[in-house]
Amino acid sequence: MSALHELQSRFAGAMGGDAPAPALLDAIGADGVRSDRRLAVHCNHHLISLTEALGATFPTLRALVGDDFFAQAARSHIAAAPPAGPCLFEYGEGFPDHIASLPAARHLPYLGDSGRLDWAINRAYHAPDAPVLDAATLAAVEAGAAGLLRFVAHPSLGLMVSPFPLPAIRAAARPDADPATRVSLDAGETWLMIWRAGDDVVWRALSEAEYRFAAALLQGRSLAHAAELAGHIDLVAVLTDIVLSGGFTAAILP
Amino acid sequence: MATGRPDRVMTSPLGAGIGLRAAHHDAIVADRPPVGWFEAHAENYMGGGAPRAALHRIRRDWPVALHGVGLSLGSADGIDAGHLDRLAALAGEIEPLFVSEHLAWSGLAGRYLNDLLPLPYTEETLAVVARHVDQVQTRLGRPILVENPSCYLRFGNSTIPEGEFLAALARQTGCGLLLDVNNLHVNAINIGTAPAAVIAALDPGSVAEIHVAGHHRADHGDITLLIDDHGAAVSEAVWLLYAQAVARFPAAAALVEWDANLPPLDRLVAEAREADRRRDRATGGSDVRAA
Repeated sequence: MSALHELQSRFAGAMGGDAPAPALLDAIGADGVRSDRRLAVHCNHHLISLTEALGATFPTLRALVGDDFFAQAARSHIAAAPPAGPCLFEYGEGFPDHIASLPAARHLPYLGDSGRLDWAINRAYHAPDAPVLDAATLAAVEAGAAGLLRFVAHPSLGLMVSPFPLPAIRAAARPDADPATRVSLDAGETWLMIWRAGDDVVWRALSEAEYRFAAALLQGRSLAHAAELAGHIDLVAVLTDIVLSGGFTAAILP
Repeated sequence: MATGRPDRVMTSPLGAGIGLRAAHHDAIVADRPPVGWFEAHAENYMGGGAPRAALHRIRRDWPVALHGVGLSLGSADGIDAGHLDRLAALAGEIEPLFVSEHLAWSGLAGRYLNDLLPLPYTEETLAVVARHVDQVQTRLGRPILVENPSCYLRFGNSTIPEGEFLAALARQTGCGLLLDVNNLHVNAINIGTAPAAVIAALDPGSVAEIHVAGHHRADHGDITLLIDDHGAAVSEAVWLLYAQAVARFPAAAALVEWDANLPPLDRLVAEAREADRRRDRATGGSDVRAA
């Protein structure tokens, strides 16, 4: 290992929460301010800036648990799973699991899924750009061939299922929400489709059958096959909704 | 590297620009503020959707520079080729005025530390950074600018003064330099680097861009450090360094950075106009710049 590599390994260790190696402190010129205090400027920035990044990605989680608990949970997550790359909007996929696993959060069973919806919305917002299938292209498909169509989902499109009413929880956690709002956790299962329409992230609550239909389409099954898996539902309504708001990139005939 | 080395940076005087922040996207498009150009943090625009669309929209009306914070030019274990590919793709779309990065390291072994960390200024470090600058310039097909860092500590084994290190890097790689005069001031207080020595060490033709920004003072017992948070107006001490810098590097484009405590767009525009006035005073210039 080169001298620079060795120095950077020790430095990275200190930023990950290890006690600074004596060799690292010795390498830092003191100049009147203690080496460990100088090093702490970087350790603090590392923690604070990544906590802010997680806070921006998980607004519902932060509102649900409060700033102090959120910062604590962020700190342990950052130490255990630091970012792999510099695009911070891609950081935090594992954070909902982490926060839900903390003993102090176990009485909030909806916390993990609330965070997963934050993540799904963040992911949709930043997903790569792609062409959007227009309704006219779809309308031009011969009726007899429509069942063979396979759809290519827009990179922003995702599905989520939860035993909790996630959109209501998210709405109640917004800063502008009426503090008197009460959310019933027994409202039943939620099936959601989340994607980007123009610049905005949208979501649509699905029935269980609609969810099975959408999931089959996302897995690349043909329209006829997806419809069969879904049972008897009004597929046109779901399809039209997704197509008109940009949820698909292409429809392919074999 | 004998082939593929890009030509040296050429700049023309532009009115001072401002750092592009997402909170200002809508106001910029609506108000068309009188600034010369914008500088975008490259990593904030590497996804799709609204941020990328705003960057394209703003690029239609202004020159836009890409300022990277994540390449980690000083990492001993190499730079992330996938990240460099994303930067190259964005640069291909935006055709930026400049692509810049920092004399710093930000990660090791697949862990990104989200900070611009200091380097020891040694021959070994110079070789590592020069190799990475070559790699980036070859991939982008153009020279980049490398910025002098803000530091809270220095390494005892450094053998090359900061200015000489940057000058040698520019000569070896053909890269240009981005001189941040707030960082010069911060380093003077934090680690005792003399700003005038850095300015004097740089070749006059090598500096293509000058940053100004605010900082805050952290006093805790034995600690008095200036924190480079870009969270305040430019201080008078930094404006004085700016005047020295524009006198020595008159072709360099100026940019105002503001990140923490971000004020409304108007405040940044006023700071950019102040940079233009100060430049005219320092250089005796009366040239009409694009604004």
